[in-house]
Amino acid sequence: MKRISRHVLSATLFAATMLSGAYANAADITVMGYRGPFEDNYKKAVIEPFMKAHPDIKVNYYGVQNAATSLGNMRAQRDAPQVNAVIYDLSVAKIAKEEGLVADLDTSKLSNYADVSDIGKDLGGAAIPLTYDTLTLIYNSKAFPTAPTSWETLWDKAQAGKVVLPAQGGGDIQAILLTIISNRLAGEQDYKNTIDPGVDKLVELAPRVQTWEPKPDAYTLVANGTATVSIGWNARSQFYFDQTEGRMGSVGPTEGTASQINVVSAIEKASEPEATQTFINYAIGPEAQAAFAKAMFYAPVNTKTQVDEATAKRIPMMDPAQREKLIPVDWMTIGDMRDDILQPWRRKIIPAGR
Amino acid sequence: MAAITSSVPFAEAPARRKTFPFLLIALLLPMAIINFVAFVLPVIRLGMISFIESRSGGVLTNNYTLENYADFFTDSFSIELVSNSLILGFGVTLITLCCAYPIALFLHRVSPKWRNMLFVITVSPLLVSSVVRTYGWMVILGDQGVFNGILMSSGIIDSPLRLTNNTLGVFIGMVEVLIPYMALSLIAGFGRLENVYEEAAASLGANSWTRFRRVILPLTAPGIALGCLLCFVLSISSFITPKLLGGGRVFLLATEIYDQAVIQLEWPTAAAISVIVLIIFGLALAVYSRVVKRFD
Repeated sequence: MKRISRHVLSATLFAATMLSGAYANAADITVMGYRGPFEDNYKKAVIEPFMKAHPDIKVNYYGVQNAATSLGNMRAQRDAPQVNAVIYDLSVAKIAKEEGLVADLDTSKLSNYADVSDIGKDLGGAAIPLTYDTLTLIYNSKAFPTAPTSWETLWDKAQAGKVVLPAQGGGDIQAILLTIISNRLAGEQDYKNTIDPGVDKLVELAPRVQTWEPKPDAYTLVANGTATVSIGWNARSQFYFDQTEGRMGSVGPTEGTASQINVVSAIEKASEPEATQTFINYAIGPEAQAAFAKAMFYAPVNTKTQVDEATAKRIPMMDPAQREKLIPVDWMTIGDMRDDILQPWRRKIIPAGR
Repeated sequence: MAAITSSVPFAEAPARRKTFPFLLIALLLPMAIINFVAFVLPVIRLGMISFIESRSGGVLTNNYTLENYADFFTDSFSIELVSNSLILGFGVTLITLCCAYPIALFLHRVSPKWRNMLFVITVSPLLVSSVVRTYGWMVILGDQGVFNGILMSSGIIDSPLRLTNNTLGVFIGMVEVLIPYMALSLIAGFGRLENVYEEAAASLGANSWTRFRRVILPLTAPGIALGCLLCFVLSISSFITPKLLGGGRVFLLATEIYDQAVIQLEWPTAAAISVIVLIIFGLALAVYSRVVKRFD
């Protein structure tokens, strides 16, 4: 009996030692990123498979409203970060890098980095491309039995009062891209020369706009018929196409569209840098990229990603014809031009629609 | 016990009075600490951020500048923001007063049997979040909403009236949201109004208009001042209703603070506008205290 007890005690001590050792080696990291469908699908497609492959690393997801909120949290937690990595927009990442809020990772230590496309690599290890998305024209399927093909549909007089344009607070990156696209429709190819023709064209559109702040969002208003046409991001449009059983459609217009880049950064001064780096390397790997593309229709950044044909058809960035027509946008200089592009929205474009 | 009480010398009373301020301070201290940590410190921090210099794109630097304030006061758009906010503040306050005053007067005069129930009905909208009520107005006033639906189906109009996504929608929503606050303030300030004064005025030959102008209005003025102050401050700082019912067309100081902080990422500009709004609130309070002193 004594012998059995001694064995049980030894086994218990051994198990406790092993468990405490395992616990000491386990890393717990938090990734901050967009909430809503992005969060739900990212957890399922990327985080859960990552944790299965790396049982010693636990990944938590902290959802926020947008990239600006992420920047605000990073500023507030500058000296004692509570998150380890952040998923946000490239133009906001530039600000974070300049303020010293993100770590500049050694990309040579990321085995998947070499396979990442060159688009959006401007900030090096401080902001690594994670997903590509494109601006699309979204439309109500009942109002448009045949899908529209041109951005000019927004200016169609028959749609007056049924156009919604998301330009909350005078506009964000969607407004910036629409200005650049309008500029090209008005004949000016390079937004760096002038945006005046584009602004004039948007002033012409303003009186036909129902709202500049669609609530809850443009996708819902178009799907339920409150509006007939708007602009949106392809990934979310495709997601809502499925959710609404096709009541809302999405199209990459023939004039071409522009891309938006989400990046992932490791937070400066955050704990667990190695586990964070392991996660980031996995997130840009072909397996995670393919899974998230299938779940949310974001274009993969990893060139070795294999995406099934049905999914690829719904991602304009994966269509060679659409990719060729991609309107070049330099997100590094957009930051400096941001005020110049958005000021006319508040002073000329939106007031023209009152 | 009685013996003990009676044995306490009367001379000890001043000593007890001396300890009183300590008790008072001890009672006030928790609230003072909470107020200092949750209000004073953030306002000081806000003031400091308002002087931080930011580079293009919203990048914060370590330098301090007066430019954020200078830019605000030299920009015609900022002046438009102030005037829009003041017009909304005064306009909504006036309309709310006109709507709530008869309700408050009726509640003051109604028999006590009905007063409590009617009072609860008046303030019952406060039980529902203003966000939910504003969404309700979006459903009622929208192009495909109840109001336009009735007018169109009855053939009065051919195309929907634009009742939302503009300033009109914001006014309608704000007035509805603020009526309970105004009514509560008015009722609280109607203490001096008694029927005997009106009866005395009537017995001296004053008609109903004169009684209202010379008796009721002066006696209810403290309630009006309190209600107007509350509604003005709430209107100026209102954010949710203008955001939801303005359709992005109504630019106000409160919405601008949000936009500058969250959309444009210009924290120093947002902080500078916040400080300016605080100054406007301070001025409103100063006017209120002067008005109240005059009535007293």
